Amino acid sequence: MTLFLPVAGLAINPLLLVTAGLLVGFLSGLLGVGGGFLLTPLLILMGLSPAVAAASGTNALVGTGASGLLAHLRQRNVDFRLGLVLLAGGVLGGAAGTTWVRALRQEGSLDAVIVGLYVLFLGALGLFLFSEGLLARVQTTAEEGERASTPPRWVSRLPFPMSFPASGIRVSPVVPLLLGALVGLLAAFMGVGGGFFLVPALTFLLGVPMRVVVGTSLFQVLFTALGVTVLQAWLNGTVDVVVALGILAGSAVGAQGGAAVIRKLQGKELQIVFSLLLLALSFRMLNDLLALPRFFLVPGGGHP
Amino acid sequence: MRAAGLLLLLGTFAAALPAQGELDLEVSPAEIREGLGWSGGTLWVRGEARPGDGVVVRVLGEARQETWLLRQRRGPFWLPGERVALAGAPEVYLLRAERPLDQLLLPDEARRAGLGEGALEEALGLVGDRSYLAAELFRQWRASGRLSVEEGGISRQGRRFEAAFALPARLAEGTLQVEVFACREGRIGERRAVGTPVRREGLAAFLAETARRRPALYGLGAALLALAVGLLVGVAFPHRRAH
Repeated sequence: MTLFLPVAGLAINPLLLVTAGLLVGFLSGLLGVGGGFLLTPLLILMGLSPAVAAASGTNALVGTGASGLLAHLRQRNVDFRLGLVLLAGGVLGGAAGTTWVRALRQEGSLDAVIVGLYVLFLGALGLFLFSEGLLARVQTTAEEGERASTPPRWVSRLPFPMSFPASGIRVSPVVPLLLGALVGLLAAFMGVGGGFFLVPALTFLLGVPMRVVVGTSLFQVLFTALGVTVLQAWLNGTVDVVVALGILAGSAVGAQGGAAVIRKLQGKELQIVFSLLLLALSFRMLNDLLALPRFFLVPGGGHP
Repeated sequence: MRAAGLLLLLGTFAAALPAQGELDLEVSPAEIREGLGWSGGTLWVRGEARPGDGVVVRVLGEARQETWLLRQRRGPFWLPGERVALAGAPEVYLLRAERPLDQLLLPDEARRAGLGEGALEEALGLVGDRSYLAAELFRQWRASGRLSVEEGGISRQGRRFEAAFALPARLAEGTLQVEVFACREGRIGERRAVGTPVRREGLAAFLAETARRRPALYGLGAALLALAVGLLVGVAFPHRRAH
């Protein structure tokens, strides 16, 4: 059984796509993360070019983000004002990232850049989660309720402070703009939503209460991913909607499984398993850059 | 007597010329259709040739401009470096010969007709100090099914011949040129060619076409479709806690 991916120009077993979606959805339900950072490497391992994997991953992120955001909208956990500032940064970052991706693609070094970024990113995140237990801390904070951090002093000193009543904070829009721009860049290059760093950054840098931080982050991630998907298709022709739909089919089911399992497991155990998975992926991709390549010629200048 | 002599002369002259119309060619399927279930396929080339002739069949994809990058060691990493520009790289190059090519054709004749890997190397300009690039490129093309040369890959029974070609899954739309060469005494005696269109069909065609011709619209459609699916999932599973 095969499925032809019309933009990737590749035939793969659709069960692989759905399984990747299941796994990513499962982790998403289990750990409350988007899973984009896992999805793109999995798609690359399936044979998709890194450029198509990242762009199609961003496309799938629109779907996973929408379903997550809906749940938060029902609970009124979204700070739209802050979300719009983040989104403005996200649009700028996404546009800059997509243009940058185009230039690197024409030069032929995009695939190596994406793989290199993933090696660094997965390795750092895996090590961090393994040693510090970030997720456990975030979850604990959430369970403890509304306790928000105080923003660092340098953040409070930034110009043009704005009020964000839904979050109960007054801060300069510079930090959320920059955070949004970074999310946009990450979405363009790596096909990730950036929630893994946006949530702690909003909490610890801006003092946004946990009640609204996830919903607001999702708002920004969803619309940034939407914009980046359009730009990637338009400028780079790397979005394969069949990949995104296959992933979404699996992740819808996987997320339910993850949410069910989390009730029976302890956060620390999950964190260790998850960080080991990230480290394994990072080493696998690092090996692609270090080991003697199977082929010495790689397509350059814009093959999907 | 004079008439008989003239007939004999004409007969001798005709025998000396390459026989015309004895080479026949049939391609199946007549059109390649790539739907969502496409994962490559087999192209059958059958036909008839004069019993003494050696048969060579070539399936040639459309030529295109390509750029490849040579991975080079930079520090501990293997990173893309030197650019290799190819003019007229065929989408696919598949060849079957009844016997080894050097037994069927003189080297010059094979080169002129573009038959064999050596001829392809020359056509791509990868000769001399660039021949190592051809070796590497062909190794990669063979692995992906883009290049295949099988000497002895044609079955023959009397006049009938048959060759099978495995088409790779990654096959762009266009026309495959299927050519049959009848070889005699080291030369190409006769040649027949037929074009086999490659078309995407159904949803695969619609998506590929829209992505190519209206990329912004395609991107917007892809994003809205994912959004709609996500919202449906959100409605179906209202307690999802995903980020």
